[in-house]
Amino acid sequence: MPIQADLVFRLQQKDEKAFAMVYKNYGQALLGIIKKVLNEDGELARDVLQESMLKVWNNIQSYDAGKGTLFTWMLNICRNMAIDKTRSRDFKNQQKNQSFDLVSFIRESHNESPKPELIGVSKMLNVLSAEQRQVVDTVYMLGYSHSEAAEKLNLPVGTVKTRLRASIMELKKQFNEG
Amino acid sequence: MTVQEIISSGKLELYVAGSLPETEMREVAMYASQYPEVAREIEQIELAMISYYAQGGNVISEQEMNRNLTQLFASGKKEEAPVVPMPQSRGVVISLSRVAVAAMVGGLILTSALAVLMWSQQKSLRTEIAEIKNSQQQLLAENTKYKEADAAYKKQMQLVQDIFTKRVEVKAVAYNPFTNQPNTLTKDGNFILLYWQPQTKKVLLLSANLPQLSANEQYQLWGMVDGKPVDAGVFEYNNGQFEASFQKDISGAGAFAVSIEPKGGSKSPTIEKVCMVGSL
Repeated sequence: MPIQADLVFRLQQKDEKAFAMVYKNYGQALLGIIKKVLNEDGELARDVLQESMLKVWNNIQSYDAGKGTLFTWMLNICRNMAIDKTRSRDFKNQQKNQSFDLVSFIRESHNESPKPELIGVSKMLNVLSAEQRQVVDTVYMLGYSHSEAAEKLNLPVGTVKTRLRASIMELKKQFNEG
Repeated sequence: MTVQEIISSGKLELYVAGSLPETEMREVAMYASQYPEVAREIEQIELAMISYYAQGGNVISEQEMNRNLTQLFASGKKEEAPVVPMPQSRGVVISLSRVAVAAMVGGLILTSALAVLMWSQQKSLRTEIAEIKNSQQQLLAENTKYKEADAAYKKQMQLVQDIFTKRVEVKAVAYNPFTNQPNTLTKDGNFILLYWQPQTKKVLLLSANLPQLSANEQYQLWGMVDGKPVDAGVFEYNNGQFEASFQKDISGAGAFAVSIEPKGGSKSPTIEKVCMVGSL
């Protein structure tokens, strides 16, 4: 991806304009993942995004394109920071649940119907079934492999694999149409 | 592996999620640089995931993003800025000693920080230990209470189960046995159940149903020995609350009687206030 190679080069030169572009392109999606991990759509999620972005900016030199795309690298930073936050005492107190467990949270949250504020916001969200969203979120929110996700969701590995692939194919199709 | 096999392997979805082990992440990155189709597929997955996760909830406004970026660049610069500008060294000896001083100061700060950390940890441990001790004492106290109650209960059971123990039902009388006047203090249905072991002389009040007395009155039990009342002790009865109790030892009783006495009891019964009798 030559465009990305150029972008990374500019970022590593500490080009603020290049970073602003990255922030604008990826920020909302990264916030979306942070929000899901934290189960919160307020100040905390925004703070985690800001902290993560600062870390990205300060550590851009350590990004290695040979290990993944820029987005994936940034996703990793955001995810880890959000997961760390869920382990903090303050967060647990706030959740009033000492044994906050992300996996069971994903499992439970997907048993419910989509939150009312999310309905009708986007056709993308409704493209996937609850079962598909569960698999996609386990992999993208927690960074789990097929087998880890299978174990956590108590599903056969094959099911996880095909469900994930089918989900992403569906999203790709929707994205290209939209 | 053909390009199609790579694409359909399911690894690209995990690659974008960053969910593969490092060796496989490198492998896919290599395929992407080798095969434009793989690179395009990764890009498409990435775009799909970005738009998927960008949906729903509060959106970051352009204005907010710019504010965040300004803040971020400012704090990024602050972190880069040197804390103490080092003057140009004037000589090897001086700069060495500066290094040594810096190292010493650094070490001092580090040890102080460590000391503070350990002190605060110790403090919180102490609080924890105090809390544990406290709850342990509470548990011990409770345990002692249960043990005492259990011992008392066993003693009572022992008496009740003894074949020589007499079971005495003390009931309300229609007429006062001493004055022959109608009894109005207690009524039918009032009772006291007591057990008496003539050999050991032990008297156990096990249960009772009596009228509530005023605060300055108390029920008193009497053993009738050769027709004369012998004090067997007062007992508490509050709003139906009655605790089984051993009374004073009585020997040679032919009957038991209960009278209402001023609080603390009397040496001899107030004759007109004898209201319950139980014969053997």
